[in-house]
Amino acid sequence: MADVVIIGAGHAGVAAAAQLHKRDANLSICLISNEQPLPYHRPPLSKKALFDELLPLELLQAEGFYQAQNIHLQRGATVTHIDRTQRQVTLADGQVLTYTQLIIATGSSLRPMPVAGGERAMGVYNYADIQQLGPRLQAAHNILVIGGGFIGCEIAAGALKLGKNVSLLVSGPRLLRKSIAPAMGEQVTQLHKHSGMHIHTNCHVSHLDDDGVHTNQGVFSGDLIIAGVGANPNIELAKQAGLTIDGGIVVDAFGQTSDTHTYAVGDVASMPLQGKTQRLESIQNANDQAQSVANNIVSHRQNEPARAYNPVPWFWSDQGDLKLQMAGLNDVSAEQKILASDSDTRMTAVQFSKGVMTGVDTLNMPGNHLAARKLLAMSVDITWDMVQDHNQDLKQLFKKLR
Amino acid sequence: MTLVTFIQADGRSVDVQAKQGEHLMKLALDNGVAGITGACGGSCMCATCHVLVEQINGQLGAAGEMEVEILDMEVDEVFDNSRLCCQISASAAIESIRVRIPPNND
Repeated sequence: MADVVIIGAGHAGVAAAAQLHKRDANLSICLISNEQPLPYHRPPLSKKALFDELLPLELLQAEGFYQAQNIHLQRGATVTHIDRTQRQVTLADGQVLTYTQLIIATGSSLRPMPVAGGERAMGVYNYADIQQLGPRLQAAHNILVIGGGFIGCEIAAGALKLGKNVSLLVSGPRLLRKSIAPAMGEQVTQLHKHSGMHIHTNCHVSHLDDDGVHTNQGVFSGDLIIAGVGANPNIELAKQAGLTIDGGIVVDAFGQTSDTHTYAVGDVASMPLQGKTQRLESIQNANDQAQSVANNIVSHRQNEPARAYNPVPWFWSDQGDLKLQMAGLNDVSAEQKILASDSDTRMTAVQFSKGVMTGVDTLNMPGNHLAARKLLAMSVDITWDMVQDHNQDLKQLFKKLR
Repeated sequence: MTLVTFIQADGRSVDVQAKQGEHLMKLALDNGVAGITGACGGSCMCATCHVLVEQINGQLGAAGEMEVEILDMEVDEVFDNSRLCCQISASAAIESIRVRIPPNND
């Protein structure tokens, strides 16, 4: 019997547990991890350590933290069933845990390559994958990466830094097509090309076999083939339990699922954001949504009103010497303005939807990124005129408005 | 080895012997130092590992652009000795370092 059971001990699950304890030290919390190591940071793929030596596990919290915080951490435990009526979860070893509130933080898993032979490409997602990646990169000479999203770009840029011959196969016309402003995607594509990466755009993979990767542009081979084609939310348990699913587990602005005793946080949650139901795969969202839900659970138990989760999403990606930072929700159909910059390797793209700033992508311009996060959190509508009136410097604009 | 001393907001101090290359945010987490969260995992994207460097025996490199910007934008009260401890690594150039964790770091 626990007050709150949390399924999943990634960033979101651990953040929820910590915040629950912080708000109410008397709560009994059970945190269930299906991995054996202590909960750890998703290793940033861009870290040098990743590529030239075995990456040490970076713990989210020290080992003693869980006991000290009254959090019962079960490692290597798989939940097989959620019984919403009895408010119980069953583990693979037969153990049954009763809860008052349940938080589902099951995260996402690597999406398999959806073509014949797709399993021949290495996927990189959890610690076990990462442990293999370093030595395999070291041993290889010709590295072939499939996928022009963040993971593909980060791995390709890291391998290039190691002095490897790197080819990147991308289905779209440029890198990061779905994720950042078109002009910046184009710029990043050119910069990676200049540093020696072989980028093949509009390249569609049909299948993989002993000869390599077959595409509409011919057959590519490499002594290490890595695929980064996205992630799928781990929704199976929620589905079995009859919770409403739309992409991920549908939650309201308070993080509550279609069952009032059950919440979902992090990669697995589909939430209302700017008029759409969507998932966010980011550390920012995992941490902030988990804290919001933890606060709402404690408030609920103390008969206080809940608060809606209203984030300014942000995200980053380190690719070789390029630091990309995104603030706000990306909408590639919105109007884009490029701010003045003093170099090819620095860029800020500002997105305006119906004349109001809704997103900012920056390349090696951290000041503008941080200012954008602050500006987007303000209740003021930011227009292009306002940006221009402050020398196209978002930090200057923020310092004026705050 | 570098001797790292963390002084928590409650006044209690934690001494850790650090191996070369280890950064202070990870050391703080692994040793249960209160007030250091390191939410971004050491990617210099948040300010949850802000410390004040009180004393150093040795050479500490200057903060980079990203770190300076984060301190400027994310920390309410920045001091001359403010640093993000994920950006400070133990090295042969540092014999010992003492850092204070400001209250309300998260």
